[in-house]
Amino acid sequence: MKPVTRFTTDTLDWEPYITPVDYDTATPAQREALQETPSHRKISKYTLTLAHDPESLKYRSPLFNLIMYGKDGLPRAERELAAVATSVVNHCIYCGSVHAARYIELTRRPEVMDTIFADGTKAEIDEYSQGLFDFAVALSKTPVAATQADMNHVRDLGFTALQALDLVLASAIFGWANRLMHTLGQAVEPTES
Amino acid sequence: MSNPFSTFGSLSAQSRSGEVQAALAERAKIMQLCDASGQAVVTPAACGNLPHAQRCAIAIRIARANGSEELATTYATLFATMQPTPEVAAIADGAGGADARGAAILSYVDTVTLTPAKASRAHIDALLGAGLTDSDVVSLAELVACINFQARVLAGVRLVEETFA
Repeated sequence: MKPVTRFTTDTLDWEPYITPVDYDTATPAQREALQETPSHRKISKYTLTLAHDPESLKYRSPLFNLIMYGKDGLPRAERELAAVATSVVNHCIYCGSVHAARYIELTRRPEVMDTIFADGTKAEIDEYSQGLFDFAVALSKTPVAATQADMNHVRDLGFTALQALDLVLASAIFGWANRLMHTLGQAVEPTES
Repeated sequence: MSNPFSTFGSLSAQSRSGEVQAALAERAKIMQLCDASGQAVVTPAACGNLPHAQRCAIAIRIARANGSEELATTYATLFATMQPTPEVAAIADGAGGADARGAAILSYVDTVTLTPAKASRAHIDALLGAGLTDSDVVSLAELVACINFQARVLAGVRLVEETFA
């Protein structure tokens, strides 16, 4: 397995540093938490790794799905853009590749992702996307660096309160996802299956 | 004492802005899950080798690193009820680890909070080498990630409130 250390829109695999839970020998609590994941047929190594802590997985899976795929508010593509912005700050190559691909699928705008992956947090994109991107970048720093001026700018771009809240949530949930994916394992080149 | 695990669920009712109140109400299920996941990482039924007081001290440390005095205070109120030892209390205040295991844990906590980009396999190996189980490691990762998430949701909601007041 060859680790991937640069951002790409190519499809990648993810390899954990610890052994994932084996579904066949999983405890009842682990199986219950795994029911919360979208597909029971093919459970990813990532989810099986997180099943080592079923108590948090049970809440995190629905939380993630509601934030990223819930109805109304911020359009889906813009949630994906926030996810990518945060993944760039936290250097989560795997999350970056998955959510860049989803953004491109939804918008047909690969050039936005190419620019972000080439220039990182300094990327210059169209004004609307830039306001969203810059807010997500600032919110993702530690200590949190997002200011009132950043949020005022987002409002001035036409965001409603619900859309602004969705932007906060999409960026914040990737502050969570990146801290799992980039620390419990690594992005690797896909192997033929 | 305010329940630390109702922080997010109570934001809507506390909001001074009608538009923000409605937005938070529309995302009520998400807000409930923010609280439930906080409870699952700070005071889980199965805490492994990471006792509740230690988890709560780590939560306070992370909230402070993010500049969220509001979230830190919420967990500090809970922490005060846990009768922590001075060693555990020192974790909340930003001290180093008392022993090799404590040092490995706090190195992971601080790196993943402050500069997640710099986290590497060496951090995980150090945790396993210090005697943590696979479950402990995932549980610690979820704790660190969840509190970082909560700090950003709270900071972001406060900005939304000010802007859409």
